[in-house]
Amino acid sequence: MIIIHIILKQKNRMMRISLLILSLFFISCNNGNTDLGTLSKIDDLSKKSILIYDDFASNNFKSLKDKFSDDVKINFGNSISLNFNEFVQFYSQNELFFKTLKLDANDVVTLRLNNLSSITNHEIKFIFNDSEYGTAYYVNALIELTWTNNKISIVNIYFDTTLFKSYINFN
Amino acid sequence: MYVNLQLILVYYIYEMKFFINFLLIFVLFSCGDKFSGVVIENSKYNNYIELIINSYENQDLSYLEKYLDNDVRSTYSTNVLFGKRSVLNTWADDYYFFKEIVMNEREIYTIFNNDKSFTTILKGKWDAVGKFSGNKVSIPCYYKFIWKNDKIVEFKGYFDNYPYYLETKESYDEN
Repeated sequence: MIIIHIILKQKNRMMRISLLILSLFFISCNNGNTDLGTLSKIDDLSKKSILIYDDFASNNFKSLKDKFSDDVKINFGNSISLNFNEFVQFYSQNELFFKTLKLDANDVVTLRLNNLSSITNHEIKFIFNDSEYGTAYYVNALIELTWTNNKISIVNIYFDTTLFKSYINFN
Repeated sequence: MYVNLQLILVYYIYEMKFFINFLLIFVLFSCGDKFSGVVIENSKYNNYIELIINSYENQDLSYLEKYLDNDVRSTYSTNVLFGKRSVLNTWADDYYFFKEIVMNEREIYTIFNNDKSFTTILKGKWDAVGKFSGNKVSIPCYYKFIWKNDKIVEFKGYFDNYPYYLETKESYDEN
């Protein structure tokens, strides 16, 4: 911001432009410390978080557990809050449904905040079929992963459970 | 903490309306697209959202109406609405089914995106009392507002609608 202040103090327009270009070249492509956070679509944490879906697809809970912290909390809106073991149990109880559930990840971004915490957000669609009626449904959802020491410590899943109540027991 | 200083610089210059086009072209083409936005502290959009929600709690949607673009696109769990009127009607429906509506535990921040738009995120707990059932509900929610020219052009709401469904059902049973 000091740079901008110096630039704006210049009365000559050409001098302003010159200083501006010069300062941009100096800071061009360099990263540094600041109080602000950033948002990125190609962050390593974004890439790592997408692998969770592969773990589910292959029932690889060991790999999944490695990505979570020991005290992870997995919150399904206001319906239930589970630790990792409870989550595995919940998944197993509803495995038939989860196996048919398709996920369409529209947007995955990671927010790195100044307090060194990071949050990865997945904007996704849950897509599933009701075989009895031959109907396909989709539900927009947001999965928010909070990272602590490169492990996922909180999972918040914001979504409408109304349609799911017929297929999943949230109690 | 790694950040894209250029994007921050562009934001401040954008706010000052200072050689904006030249700078954006220069910056966005010089470093690729590693960062898609920077978080802005004390953004005016945070204040706008506070105004919208504070007035919404008092059954006043005038600020929402003021800041919505006429062609706003709003996405909910299973549907997409187009136009300002449809959003206003949807928000106004809350007052029919619920009272004592309060958005608690608010967390608001705004991101300046590299396409020159702004995104404001609002997280919180939507607390209310059902008018028909008398049930207290508390719903964690996540809202995303995308701004262009100081108007909300896109809005996404992620929350559990099940308590709303139950209240609707209760109202039908009562009537």
